[in-house]
Amino acid sequence: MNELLSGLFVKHVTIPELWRLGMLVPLTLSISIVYKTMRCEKLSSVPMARLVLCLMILTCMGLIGVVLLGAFRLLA
Amino acid sequence: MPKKPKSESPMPELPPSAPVAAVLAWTLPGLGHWWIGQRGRGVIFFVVISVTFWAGVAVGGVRTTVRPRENGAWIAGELCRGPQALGALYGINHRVTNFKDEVKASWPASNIAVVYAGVAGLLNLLVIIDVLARVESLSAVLNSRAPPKVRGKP
Repeated sequence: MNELLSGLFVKHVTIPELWRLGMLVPLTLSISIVYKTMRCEKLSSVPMARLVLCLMILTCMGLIGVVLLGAFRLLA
Repeated sequence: MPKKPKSESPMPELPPSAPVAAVLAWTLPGLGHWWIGQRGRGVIFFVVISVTFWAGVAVGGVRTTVRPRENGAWIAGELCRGPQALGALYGINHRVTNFKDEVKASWPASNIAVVYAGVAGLLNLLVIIDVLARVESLSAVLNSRAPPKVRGKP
């Protein structure tokens, strides 16, 4: 068990190509949870607020990515 | 009568000390909030920041994620995470020497791991700033409630 646990944090994980962008979702979720937990006065309003913020961040980053891809193709 | 949230404890008599709250928040994410009575927030901060940091270390391996020579600025962010980041730093210097290069992650796992751990540290920095702001507002509320001092009397 100890070997399994130490191996978990010592050896790296191979991430499939499809999952590279997917790794953005948990990171965005944790950022939005921490931010909204700080901002919301009532903790009961956090789940909905963090979902909205998470979707907003993902949408904006997606749009920025599309714009940059378009600019890159135009300039290439 | 309005219901009191379960996670919040009653207001303390004395204002909490800001430096102690900040040090506690750095030591363990959310511990500062727990100490000033906002336990629900404290638990959320602890779970989210710890999971983010250790998920980063698990993805890239400790040798890739916490490497001061290569990830200079990110290490500063990771150290805001507190003693757990210091423990990981100690681990690569003293415990993981027998693995050497084969445990270093390649791109993109290396970048993802460093970003996860660094963002966790920066989120903890935000939490420290938040607990300081809350201590200040709590002190202001408690001071406004205190009875006026009478001259000549201690």
